[in-house]
Amino acid sequence: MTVIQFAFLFFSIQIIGSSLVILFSRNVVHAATALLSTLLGVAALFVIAGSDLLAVVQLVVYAGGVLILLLFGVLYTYRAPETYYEKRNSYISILMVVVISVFLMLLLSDLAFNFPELHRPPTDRFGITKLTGYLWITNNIVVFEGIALFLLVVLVGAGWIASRIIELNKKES
Amino acid sequence: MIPVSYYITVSILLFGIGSAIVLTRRNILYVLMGIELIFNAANINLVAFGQYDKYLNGQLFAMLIITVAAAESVVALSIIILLFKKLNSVNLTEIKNLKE
Repeated sequence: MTVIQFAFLFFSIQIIGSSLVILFSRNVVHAATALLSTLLGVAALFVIAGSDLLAVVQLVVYAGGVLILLLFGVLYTYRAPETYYEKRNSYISILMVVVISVFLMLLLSDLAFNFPELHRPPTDRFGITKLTGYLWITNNIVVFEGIALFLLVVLVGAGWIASRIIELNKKES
Repeated sequence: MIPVSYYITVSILLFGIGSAIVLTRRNILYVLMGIELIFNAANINLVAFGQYDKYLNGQLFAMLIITVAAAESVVALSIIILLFKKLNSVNLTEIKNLKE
């Protein structure tokens, strides 16, 4: 077993284990911490797959942005666990994971597990970062501009919803 | 060199766990975390296949998905906080309407 294979096994176990923690934990803060572990493991898998730029994007956007935002949501809507009761249905959860996974395995087995042997194209001296930047502003410029417009719409929409929250706060006080 | 089928196995398991979270949990924050897991499973698949592509289409599309997921979680969290202000609950079974 080479180092790469060992690293892949280690990070796969980390991803699956911490996502199972999210599935079964009662405490929302524990679940958010387990989500951090999952996202870091996925970033490591990106590095193993040769996409170091995407791993950095994953760290900055997910681990740095989305997770902190989610923790804000968790702490803002926190209620003591005794005040509400969620029925524990571990068997249904496990059954659902098994059913969906087996179904997808069967669905994808023809395509995925008989995938022809391919060879990774040689990347340039700068890795994939330079090539990605070049492709974004040449072949995929329309998509790039589309994302920019979309993010503007999201910014305005989130600001509008936040103004409703401020109005509600004023009404309460 | 890791074969593509290993990546697909990991991503299928992650997708299964994510959809189980979305379908079984009642707390809306857990549902949001499950959706993030599903996005990540899709990204692993795209990157695993995209490493053989000369034009990096899989990785560019994965970057697009990360951006859209971040925007989605911003809007979802602001709606969650607004709902919590109005209804004092994050339980999906108690949330029935968005109107006043």
